[in-house]
Amino acid sequence: MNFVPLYIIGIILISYILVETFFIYKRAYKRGLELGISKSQLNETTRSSVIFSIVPSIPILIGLITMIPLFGDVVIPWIRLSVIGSVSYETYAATAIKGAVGLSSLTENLQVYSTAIWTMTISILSGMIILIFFYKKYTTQLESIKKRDKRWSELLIAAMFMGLVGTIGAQQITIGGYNTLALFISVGIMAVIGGLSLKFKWLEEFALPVSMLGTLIILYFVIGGTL
Amino acid sequence: MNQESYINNLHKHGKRFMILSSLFMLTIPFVFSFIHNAWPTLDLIKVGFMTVGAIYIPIGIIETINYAPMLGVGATYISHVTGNISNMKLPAALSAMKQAQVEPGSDEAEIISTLAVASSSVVTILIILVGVLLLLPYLSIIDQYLGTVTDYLVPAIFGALGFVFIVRHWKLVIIPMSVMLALFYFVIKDPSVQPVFVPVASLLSLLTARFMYKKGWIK
Repeated sequence: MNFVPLYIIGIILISYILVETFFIYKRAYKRGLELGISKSQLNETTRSSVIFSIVPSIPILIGLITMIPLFGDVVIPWIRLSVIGSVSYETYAATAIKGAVGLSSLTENLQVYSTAIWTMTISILSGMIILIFFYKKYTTQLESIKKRDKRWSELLIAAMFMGLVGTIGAQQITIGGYNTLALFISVGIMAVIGGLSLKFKWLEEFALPVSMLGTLIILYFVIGGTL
Repeated sequence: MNQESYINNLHKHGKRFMILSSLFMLTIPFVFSFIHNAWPTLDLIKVGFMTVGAIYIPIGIIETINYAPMLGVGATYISHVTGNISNMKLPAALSAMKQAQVEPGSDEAEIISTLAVASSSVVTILIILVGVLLLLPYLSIIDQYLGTVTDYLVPAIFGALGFVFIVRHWKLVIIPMSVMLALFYFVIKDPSVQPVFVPVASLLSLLTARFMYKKGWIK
């Protein structure tokens, strides 16, 4: 199979996304200064988001390796995981299609291979299509709720987020075992750092990364890992 | 410039970003099929959409509606191109907003969230790139050490993040969490299917929040 053209598209696509992201970032930064947010706050937001994002990127990288045998090359997993996709979605999609046709690897049949990447691409574009056609209208509506009742619009967003917290929390508790343990270790570390950061403001920036990493380290030893 | 014209510009820019990115993404299967002369047959397409499309198209739509108000405009556009929203972009945005002490949904939150998601996206893209270039031969060793605990990354993030929000809005979490607990204990027992219920829990949470707000139980 010839993957070279796909590498070229991948490089162009990912560079394009980096450039657009940079422009949106720059504009937001400028607008932030206009709104009276201090330069140091804007820089701190950037720094702490960079720190936070390092650890969750590693499982994505590991997911990438597990996808290589499925696709016979690194290029498709690389593009899909740099852009739009998530590890669980990609692996499920490829496995489901190959299973439905009864193959052990996608590379055995080029038609199945191309079907898999067509379906994966089209399916995941649904969110973007919604954004292209309906998003502006949707934000206008949210904006009008905000004008009518500011407090309710804040609670509305908090309530939506509670749907996520409630679902993931309940999921981790019903799975039980180390998942539940991890959930509560993380709560515990956050509670301690949260309390301390009332006194030491600089700690706040590290609260989430430290809770996450601390939980994983404790869990590693609880499970019986050694150095 | 006021906030309204900033947002309008962002929509214009964002739409172009979405259209060009989706076209680029479609060139990947197109070029693959073209150079290998391997086009999906109608039967195969049907299989693909029954197994993958039927699940992921509705999820894509519902997730967008659900997460957009929390992320704000700029962050929504970026995160829909760069992916990994619920496990990474959303936690990054919420943690940044909390740290900057801005209320999600406010003009300031829009900015903070955009900066957070943009930085987070660049970090992931770079780590994956470096990983592919340098670490590929060693990844199995990394996996050996980290593999045992990376399965627990989701509770490790959501414990801390959930705690922060529950402390502030504890009344809002009672109903959605209890209903989901009951549902997952007795009916939907497969953990890989459970996250699909986020929008259901969000809707339930919205309705109960509205009720409590009207009753004056939350202010």
